[in-house]
Amino acid sequence: MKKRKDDILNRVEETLGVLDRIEKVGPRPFFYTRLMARIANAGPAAVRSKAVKKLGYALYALIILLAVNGYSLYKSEQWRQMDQESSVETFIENYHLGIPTVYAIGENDLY
Amino acid sequence: MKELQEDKLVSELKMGSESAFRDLVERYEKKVFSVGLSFVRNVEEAEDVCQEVFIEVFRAMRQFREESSLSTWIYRIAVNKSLEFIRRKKVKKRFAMIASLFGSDNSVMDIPDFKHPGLALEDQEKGKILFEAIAKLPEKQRAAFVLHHVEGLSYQEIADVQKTTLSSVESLIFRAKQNLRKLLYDFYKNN
Repeated sequence: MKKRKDDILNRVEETLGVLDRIEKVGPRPFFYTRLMARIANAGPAAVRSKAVKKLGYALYALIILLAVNGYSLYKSEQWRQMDQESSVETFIENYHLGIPTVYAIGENDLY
Repeated sequence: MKELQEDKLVSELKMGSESAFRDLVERYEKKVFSVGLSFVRNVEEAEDVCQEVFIEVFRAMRQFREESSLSTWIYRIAVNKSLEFIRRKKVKKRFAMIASLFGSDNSVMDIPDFKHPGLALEDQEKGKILFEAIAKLPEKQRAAFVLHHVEGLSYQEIADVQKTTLSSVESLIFRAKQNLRKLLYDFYKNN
């Protein structure tokens, strides 16, 4: 058991030892030419696309904000109506206005 | 071509000199490529990151306030661009996974078989395992570890690159080593 643990620890140290043997390598030849070609091709367009991206994010944020506001406005209106209706119902219930009394019955209903 | 002194190089770069820019690229391409390679673990993608770094340097040169050295500034851009690249790749991967659920065929190729061009053949297998483990470290620990152990930067230089204190770099590298040892131990235990 201990031997296996030691073996594993040795392998860990050997693997970490690779870090001391890494040689510096550069990109493939003609890197500068490819880089300049990319700068020439995508220079102003890339800057513009960055600005467009930022504007896009702002627009998305605005749309989400408006949608949330609209939804909460719609919901609050619904709740206000429900509140009003329920308060009228409670009033009717409290004063027994829904139950027809003898005074509310028309003359025709008596005969 | 005789190398320019750093301050002269910076002033010429700020004036838009192309020969100064070429000089800068020649001076730093290996360093930037090496950082990119340690993060993205793919030669073509590392070159892509390398190009992005120099494009950023080219664009932002006029805003470079010389509060840090040119090399610190370039290393900072290289680390940020590498991490950005990895995040973008992760998003693309997730998107491809979702798209594949709906039958779309835009899958992103994942290349797990990484061969570091700076390693000898006999070290390739260990190198692959090591960089796989490094990729699992948290971003700050990964950056500090790569800058110190692969790039050979001092703790103070790393503190400047990461805009942090010397003690926090020490702690980041200490924790990175601990985590790496644990990750590698678990890997060898299970394989």
